[in-house]
Amino acid sequence: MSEPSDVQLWERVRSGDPLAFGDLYERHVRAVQSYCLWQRADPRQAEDATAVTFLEVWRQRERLRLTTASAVPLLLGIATNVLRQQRRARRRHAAALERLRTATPAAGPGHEEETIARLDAARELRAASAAVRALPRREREVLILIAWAELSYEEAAAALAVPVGTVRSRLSRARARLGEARLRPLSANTPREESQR
Amino acid sequence: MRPAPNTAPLLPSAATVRARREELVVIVSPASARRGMGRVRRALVVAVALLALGAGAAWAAGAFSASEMDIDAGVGCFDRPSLHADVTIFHAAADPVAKCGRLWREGVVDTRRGPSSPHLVACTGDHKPVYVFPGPDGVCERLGLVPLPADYAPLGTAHARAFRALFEIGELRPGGACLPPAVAANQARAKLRAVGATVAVSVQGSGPCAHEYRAVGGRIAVVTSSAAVAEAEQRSVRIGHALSGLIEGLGNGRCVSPAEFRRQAQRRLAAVGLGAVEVRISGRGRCVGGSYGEGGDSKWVEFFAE
Repeated sequence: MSEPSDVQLWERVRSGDPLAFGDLYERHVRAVQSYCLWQRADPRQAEDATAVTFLEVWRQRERLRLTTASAVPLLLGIATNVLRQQRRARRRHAAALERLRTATPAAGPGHEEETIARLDAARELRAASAAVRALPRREREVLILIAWAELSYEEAAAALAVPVGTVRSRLSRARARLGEARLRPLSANTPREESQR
Repeated sequence: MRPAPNTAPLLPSAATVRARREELVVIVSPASARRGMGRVRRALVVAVALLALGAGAAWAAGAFSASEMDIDAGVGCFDRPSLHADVTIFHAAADPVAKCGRLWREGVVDTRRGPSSPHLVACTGDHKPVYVFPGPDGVCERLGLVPLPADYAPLGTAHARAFRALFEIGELRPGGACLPPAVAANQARAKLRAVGATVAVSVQGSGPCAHEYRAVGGRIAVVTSSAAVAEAEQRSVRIGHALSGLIEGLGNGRCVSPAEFRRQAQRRLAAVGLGAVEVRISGRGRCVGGSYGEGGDSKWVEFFAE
């Protein structure tokens, strides 16, 4: 049997199906956590924000609408809100967060190598995202959604609940601020961008 | 613009995703909401039982790797053949199926059923607790678990004491110091001897510093790591502790100027002997934000003014 689409899954989630919610989590958790890492560059904060994002999705499932074929823009939109209000949202789900933290399998035999790889990746992430994180929040959100999370303009607009034109102007300002000299062609990361102009 | 930074090593493994998915489903399932109080009470019972055994912390942290010792992490009697079913948990028993059968007959597992027990099957999985389900043979495999080994035996009292002693040994790197693995192993042996436990202690890895204790294959191992990693990690943790109150304050909508923030951060760091850590602030905003980065093996810490 073929995998259900995000739209089908989402309908089941909206009707209160916990197993469909589990499927949605398993399918997209890495995309959400990557996004949170790019925004925060702090693994622990990103992990918490990811868990809170899914708990918020469940809490608000009846009023949320999926307007794209993929659930990723919706999830990254919720993650954006969670990151903006991280402490308040974290408090709301403190007990669930604690339970999720403990749901972690034992470290395997390659634990030390994994730890070193994590430290290296964390350093690289902080260095790579320092310039981006210096941008004003709204511009940074748009830039990360489009350049790194590879959302289209329309999907980024859906995620942030703003018009597509706003996405374009924020992206344009972000690029200008970062400086053309430091830019690689964004199209290398966003193959859909050019066709949308 | 750089390409997206590689986050793969910082993302959860497939096993972690599966474990968290299971927990998440339980958290949001209507059954847990409807019978929430019952669940809480049962959870407390098992928490107390496990802590009394001394393995509670390890169970919660998933700290033990596969061995016959760590299979003893509690028994769950599920009221239907699903990992999402309601569950009654109790401290490990020599015969988990017999114990669950008794709880079924007493009406503890399913209050709607009369004084009888269905056919029960015991399984185990990644986390090493014992799961007991009603259902036919083969239910373990259907749920992605494995049948409980025939030679399963819960921990004896001596092992329980050993585990408790192990967790009382505590800090392996006091003050960020690098404790040689041999010294850590000797400390563990002395502690275990003092409580009459006869568990062997070995050193695993060739790093110069003790990193953590782990139960491996019926013995306790001192797992090592390199000094650079150990010291940087330790410094990072201490920086986080020193600045946590200050960072929490930023989350309440308070605007702290870069100059004021730097002054307060340096004061807090100096108070815990980390005065040499440089506080950097980038960005041209009026207020310092709550996220931060570290670099140079945690020799500097960088905040962002938005």
